[in-house]
Amino acid sequence: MLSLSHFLVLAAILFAIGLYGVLTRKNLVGILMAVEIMLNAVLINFVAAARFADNPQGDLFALFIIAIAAAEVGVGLAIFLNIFKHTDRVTGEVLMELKE
Amino acid sequence: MNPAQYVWLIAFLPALSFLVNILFGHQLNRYGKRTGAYMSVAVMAVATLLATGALIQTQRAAPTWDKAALKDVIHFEEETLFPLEAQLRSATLQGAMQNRLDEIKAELHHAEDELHHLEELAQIRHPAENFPFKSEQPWLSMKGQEGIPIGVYIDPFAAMMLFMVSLVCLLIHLFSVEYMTGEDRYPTFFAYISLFSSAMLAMVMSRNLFHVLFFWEVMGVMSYLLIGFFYKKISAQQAMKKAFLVTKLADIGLLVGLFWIYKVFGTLDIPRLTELAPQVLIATPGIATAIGLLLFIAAIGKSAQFPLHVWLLDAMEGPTPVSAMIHAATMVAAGVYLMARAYPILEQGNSLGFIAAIGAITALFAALLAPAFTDIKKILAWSTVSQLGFMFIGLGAFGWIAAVFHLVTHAFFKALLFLCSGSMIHGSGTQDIFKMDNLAKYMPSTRWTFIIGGLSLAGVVPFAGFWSKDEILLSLKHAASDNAGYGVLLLMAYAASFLTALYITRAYIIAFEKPSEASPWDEAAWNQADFAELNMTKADLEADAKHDHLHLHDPPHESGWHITASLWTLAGGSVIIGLLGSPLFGNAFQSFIYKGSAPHIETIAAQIPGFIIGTAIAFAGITTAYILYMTNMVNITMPKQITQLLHKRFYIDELYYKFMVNPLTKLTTPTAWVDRRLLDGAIDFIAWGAGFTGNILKRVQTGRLDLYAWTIAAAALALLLGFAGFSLAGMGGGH
Repeated sequence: MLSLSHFLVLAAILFAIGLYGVLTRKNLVGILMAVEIMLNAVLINFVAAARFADNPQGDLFALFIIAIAAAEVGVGLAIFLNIFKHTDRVTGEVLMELKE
Repeated sequence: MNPAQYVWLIAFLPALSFLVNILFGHQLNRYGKRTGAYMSVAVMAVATLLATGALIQTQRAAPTWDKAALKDVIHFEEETLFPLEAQLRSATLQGAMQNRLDEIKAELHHAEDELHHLEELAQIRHPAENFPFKSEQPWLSMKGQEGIPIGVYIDPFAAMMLFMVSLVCLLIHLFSVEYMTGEDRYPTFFAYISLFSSAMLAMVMSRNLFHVLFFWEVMGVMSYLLIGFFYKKISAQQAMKKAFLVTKLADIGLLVGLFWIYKVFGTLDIPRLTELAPQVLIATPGIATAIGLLLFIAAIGKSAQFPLHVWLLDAMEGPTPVSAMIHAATMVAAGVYLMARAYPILEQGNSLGFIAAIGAITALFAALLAPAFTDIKKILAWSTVSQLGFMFIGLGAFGWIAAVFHLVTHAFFKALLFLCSGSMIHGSGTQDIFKMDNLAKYMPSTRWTFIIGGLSLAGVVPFAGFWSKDEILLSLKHAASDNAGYGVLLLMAYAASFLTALYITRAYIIAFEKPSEASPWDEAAWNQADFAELNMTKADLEADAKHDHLHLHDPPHESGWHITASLWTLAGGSVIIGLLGSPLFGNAFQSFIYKGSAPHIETIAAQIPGFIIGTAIAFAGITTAYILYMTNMVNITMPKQITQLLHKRFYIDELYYKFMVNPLTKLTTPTAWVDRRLLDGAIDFIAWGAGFTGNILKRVQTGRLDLYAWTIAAAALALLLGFAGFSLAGMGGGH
């Protein structure tokens, strides 16, 4: 029988993987994918908590997060595409040039 | 179908045509220069058809009266009901005993029953079940509160107004199609006049005074935009601001008046107010007077009565069709409409005498000024002010039906005269009647329609203005038999009628029958002082001429079919509408509008003395003008002081400047300093502070993504550890 802790541990592992990705990746697309993994970890927390506390609010939150994450990926990729057009690279260092 | 279900379209369609013209006007022009314009004409035509339908249905549903029996009703009202009301009023004011009050109330109640009985007897045909037509939708209602229900109320008065406004606006639209051709902002112009018509129509059909206020203000904005249509001219800018500020000043009266009505009645619903007014206000004539005066202030502003008439003359800066619209069907008519709607409230107070007095002063004062001007549009503007004065005389002399009748006939003949003036300007190239060259030869349609409009204005049998003006004078005569004060007003009204006939004949003779004194654009003929006064330069004038499509050196010519068609239709209206209210057709107009407040319906025989006096005065005015301006038999030169006084419009504008505008400007100097130094200084300081801290903090923004991510992760970890440590410590403490 699965308990709440199983889900929380799974989510924590996923979150850690995502965080690792964000911290080590140079490619912006990679960072975005890692962020998505972190978001999904949070999602699992919400859904699991909702199921075990018998309160549908968590499910609702999860739905919202999915919808907003989809939009966020769209915006993010569009920005990366434009960065790529300008500089032929999609790495974080490129963004330093935006300063002042 | 019940008119209440479709009348909203009458106002909605022109509003739609506003949207299309303002958003897609220039795109529409690709399908022909006049596409948008013709569309708005078509829309107005549909609105007019719908309004005609509503008028016919209302006429079918309204009761018809037996004139002889109706006289009994009126007699009973005057002899029994009004004295009882007066008795109750004075008893309440003197603080009579309760049982005495109850006694009078019971008597009054009895008399009212009797009146209803008499009224029913006087009805040849009883009103239909659903008459007057109403509809109601909840709006802004919250938790059991009534809110402000939105809906229409179509009684004979509203139906008549809808028909008149939509028809006159339709003809003005048609006229403008030709008149405004070649203007840069051609689609914008049609958008504006469509919304203007729409607001007036919506105001007339609204059942709630709140919506009346709403559309009243929409009209205020539209008149502002239209008066300043040629906004590149400084004089137009000034005129638009003046019109807006003066009418807004007066609108405060309407706003406060509506608050007060709501406080007293708990509703702004027109049919309910009409019903409740006698019961609620009977014992408090003071409140009724105050509300009446507040509403009247608004009407003074909107309908350009003395002393707030100053904006109307400057409003001539707008294109001529706009002048026709403002002066006939919309805007100035709104003030009279409001007064007529609020009549049941006014009746309970003592403000009517004041209203009549202001009306008489305005009528005479404006009629004195009209002959002193040479600009055809300004002559007609003064004429409007004067005729509106007549309407207020009618209202104040207990004859609101007469006032409404004059409102409708005036709308037709004044729109006609204004459109004629537009056609004259279009054809001859000048606004100055002295520079118009023998127009009778060149512009036959304009000439004959101008004659019809002019005779109607002068009050000559059988044209519209005669019947309605006569009706007002008749009410005044009735009022004068009770109260000598009204006798003075009657004399003033006669004097104003005489001057009316004089100035319109003068305008006709000089513009149409005489050769011009100088060619319009002769340098020497320029009256320098005039232009200095108007803040106009030669360049402005030439721009003016371009706007009005003046062909500077062409001979005068007749206008095209759009213009002449609208002129002849209005000329027809100026004759027919008047006849409908004449005793010859059994005062059909008055008994249609009648709803329980005395019109003075007389037999033809009793009216004949009035007819004779009215006609005699009109002919005296016309003859005097003929002798003075046509034959040159008498040559009067006015003393310089008097002409100066008239040209300066009795110095009323100067008084406003001296006592209102200049002191206000002085008052604003210190407040402007406070605004600039203290308030703006504080804001600048805050902005500087934000910039300063920003400059320090921006060093943190390295732009290195990995660094940000590490910082966030480290901070999150620190927070997590902190919480964990804190809760562990807490648990330890708990044990």
